Amino acid sequence: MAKNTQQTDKQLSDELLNSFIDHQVAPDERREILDLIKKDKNLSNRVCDLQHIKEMTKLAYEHIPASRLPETVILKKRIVPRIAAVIAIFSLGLLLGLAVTQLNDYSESIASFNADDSITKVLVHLTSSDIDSGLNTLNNLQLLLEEYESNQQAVRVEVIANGKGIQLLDVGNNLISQRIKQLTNDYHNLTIAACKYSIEQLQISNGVKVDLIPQVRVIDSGVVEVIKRQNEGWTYIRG
Amino acid sequence: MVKLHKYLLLVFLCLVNIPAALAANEKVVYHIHQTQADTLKRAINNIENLKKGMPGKPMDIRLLMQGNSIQLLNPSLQDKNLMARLLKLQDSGIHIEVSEKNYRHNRLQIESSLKPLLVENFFGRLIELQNQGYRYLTP
Repeated sequence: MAKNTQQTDKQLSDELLNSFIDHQVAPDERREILDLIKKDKNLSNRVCDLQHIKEMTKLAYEHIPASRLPETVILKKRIVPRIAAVIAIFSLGLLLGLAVTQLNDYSESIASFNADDSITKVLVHLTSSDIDSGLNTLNNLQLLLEEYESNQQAVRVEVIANGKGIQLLDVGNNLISQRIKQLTNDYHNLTIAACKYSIEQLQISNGVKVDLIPQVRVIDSGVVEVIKRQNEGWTYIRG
Repeated sequence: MVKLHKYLLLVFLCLVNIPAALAANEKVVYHIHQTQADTLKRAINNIENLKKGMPGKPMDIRLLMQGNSIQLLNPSLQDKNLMARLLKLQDSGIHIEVSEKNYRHNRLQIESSLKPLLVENFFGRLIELQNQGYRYLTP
């Protein structure tokens, strides 16, 4: 504020006077305004009015009631109900998981029970030229076929020979060829296949020429057939 | 809405983990069909490595010996250490199953401490186990 002692009531704004009332003016200014108030009655009245307004405002807002927000907005921190909800959901998940496990076990047992109604497919993979082993495999095959026949259950058996297993299927192996002839005659659900690549390989690498038993059909690749059958859900047995 | 998603995620995790944890029994059928000198050793190595590879995991391992491979259980044909390892596996819960017919023919030669289960239809047993979810292994 300019240090002008000639300022009158009309030149002093309400803003300045309110600052004076709030003791927000510099000491020099305050002294000037006090002098003016003494000399000017109008100014004195204005200051009183402003002081009065200030007091009334202060009185009106002295006790402000707490705001009452709607209950839906109020976020009450209820820890116990939240923990209870977590435990309930976890327990539900646990029970559901247990139910699923038991359902899996049940469906597995149902599947094995229902196996009687559907055809069982078995792939026997011959890779060894050992005659005893080969004969034993054929014995076990016969047992299997007999059991399924006596139980009136459907089964399909395919024997696939590759590698050294091809040598078992040579007509020169009398014991084996006799058994195969007998089994393929008795059981039309039994087929025997030999890998063409293995036959060629035996001849090229080992100089062994295999003269296959007539009941054996030739396929291109034994391993491809093994994989194909397993992908189709056949049970795999090494013979 | 975010909190609902969190709860649903919790339920989903329970559903995924609990059945997996409960159905933890590893089932394996180990089929021996050869009679080579080192066949039993390879089989024992494989089974021990299998157990070592899954420490703490409950396992149901069945050693099925076909035909003349049962002769491998003759202690006079095997290293003492190897038979001891096989007996240890049996004590740990491994089941040895052999064809009943082959067992009768070879009973006197088999290690007396071994208690194999006798199977009437060997291939039928292999099929049954695989249908029950047993994984199939050979040497």
